[in-house]
Amino acid sequence: MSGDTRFERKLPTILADLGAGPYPDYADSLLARTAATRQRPGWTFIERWFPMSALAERMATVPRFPLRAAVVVALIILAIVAVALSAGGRQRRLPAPFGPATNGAITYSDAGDIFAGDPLTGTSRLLVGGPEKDFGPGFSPDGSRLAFWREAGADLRLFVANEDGSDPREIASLPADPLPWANWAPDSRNLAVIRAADDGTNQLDLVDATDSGSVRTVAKAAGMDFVQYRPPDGREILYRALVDGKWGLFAMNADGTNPRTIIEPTVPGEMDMSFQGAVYTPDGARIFYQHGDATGCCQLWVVNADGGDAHSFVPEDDPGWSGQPAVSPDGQRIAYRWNANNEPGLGLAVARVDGTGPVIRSGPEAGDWWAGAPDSSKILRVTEDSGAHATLLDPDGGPSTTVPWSSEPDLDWQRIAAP
Amino acid sequence: VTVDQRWLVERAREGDHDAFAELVRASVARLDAAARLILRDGELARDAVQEGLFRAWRDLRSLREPDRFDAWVYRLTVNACLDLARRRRRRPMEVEIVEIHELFASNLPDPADAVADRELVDAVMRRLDEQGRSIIVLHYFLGLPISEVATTLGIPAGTVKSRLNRALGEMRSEAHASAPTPSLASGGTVA
Repeated sequence: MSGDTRFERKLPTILADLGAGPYPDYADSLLARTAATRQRPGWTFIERWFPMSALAERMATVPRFPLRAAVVVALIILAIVAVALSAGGRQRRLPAPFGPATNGAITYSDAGDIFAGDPLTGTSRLLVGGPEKDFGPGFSPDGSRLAFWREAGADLRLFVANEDGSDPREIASLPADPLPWANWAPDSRNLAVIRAADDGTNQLDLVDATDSGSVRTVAKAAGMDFVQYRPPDGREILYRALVDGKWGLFAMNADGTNPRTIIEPTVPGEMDMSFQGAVYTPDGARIFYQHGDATGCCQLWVVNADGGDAHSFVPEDDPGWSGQPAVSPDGQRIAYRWNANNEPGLGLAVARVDGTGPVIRSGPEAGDWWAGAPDSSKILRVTEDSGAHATLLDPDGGPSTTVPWSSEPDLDWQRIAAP
Repeated sequence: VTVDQRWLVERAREGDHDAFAELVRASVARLDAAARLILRDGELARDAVQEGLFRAWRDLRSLREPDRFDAWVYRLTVNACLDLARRRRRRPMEVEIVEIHELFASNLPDPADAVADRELVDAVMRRLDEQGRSIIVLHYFLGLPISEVATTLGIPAGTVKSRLNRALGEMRSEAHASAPTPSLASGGTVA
């Protein structure tokens, strides 16, 4: 037997030994608890549990193309604006790269292909098919281009296509381990890509999506695993980084110059969810982020973009876990993950950005991530289950609807200009 | 899934608590071991398993396919573990100190190399975060295929593969570098 397979073959037995213990003595008390608890009626489940065989692989540990925050690495491509030629040869009007826009199609991946669905008509169409495993689609801020990842052995290849999926072309190939991260730059011409650098730091590159791959390295920083462009002009970049083993929140000019501190690096490195998925408000004035300190992580905090007035966003009487913020494009609502003390699971809360509310507070079975519709009329909530149907929530707490197609949990909403 | 288990799930889904109790008694030891491996803490593992099984009872009517009961309960329990781990980060907590020879005490005598194998697996598991340990446990201990591990944890299959490969690589490296005499594992304080 080769050394390479030795542990793989022995692991089940070794793990059984390591986890061995006496027969749990709490089964009876658990059953007494369940016996006193009524089951939830079937109709209360908006989405029933879908077969796990319906493949839905996704990146959960880092922000993806849409608004996503979570543990260590991932990808996503956020959308904004719109450009392209109309059928008659006229140039299509484009939305500004930040702020509200008209809702376009929702792109998603399912079983290795990329689709676009219309939540109004319920129809969907194939954008990128074929035997390859494609995932993580995201429209450019102007809605004219589509980026997605393709698995290729030990590598991930970053592709860009037209918004209808035509003319797909590879613009970068990166090792899948550690996972790279990518997001559109506000100009819709470049993709910001973070990869591991040779010196142990992470490297932010700007990859030209229009001419097949010119790459410009913008910055390097230990621990940097996402960036956020600051509205309204995208001239600044927000990122987190490790300095002497401590997490802090930083900003720099979009060309990598003038790095500056937003929040001093004082959070111990093991609190590795601190600052993850920090987001600007659409006016660029404030930053919502996951606050951590030496005692733990995370709670949702907000700070001025210059680093002033950092304070907890979630009321003090609700000191449970909270984070993963997504601000609606109109800047009126914020959706975030929460759980109150002693409550199991993590739910979805929606509040007004001035701190009043909450408007919505779901139970612990909420979806894994969410993003605001371009026109802020809905919150797109994606469940953790593969092959599930995303839900469109009313940010004012009204009835929700479910999109008619199932998908992997990688969805992104196209932004187009108002008519 | 046996016919009996499927019948029990269907009965439990209809509200038959005795049927649910049978399902619990058949699975609780395995779930407890899985949670202990992930959380490295017996008390937290107990909380996670209870939470996972409680949710299973409460939400059983959301389970569309009775044949998926085991995988579903694994998912609920592992997610409960990860939720507890997130909350654990909010405060320092003593990790249960379990010495390896105690864990092995109930087993037949082990040859030295088997003890060494377990020690290095234990050491590598300690270095992984909860999600990393969940991947190992779901795949190698609970026997889920990589695609279902990915779905359960909400991460791509490529990530599962890479993290498995990395952990196995560490085990191989440790095996090559390990001293001939194994030492006792010890616990510590984590935040």
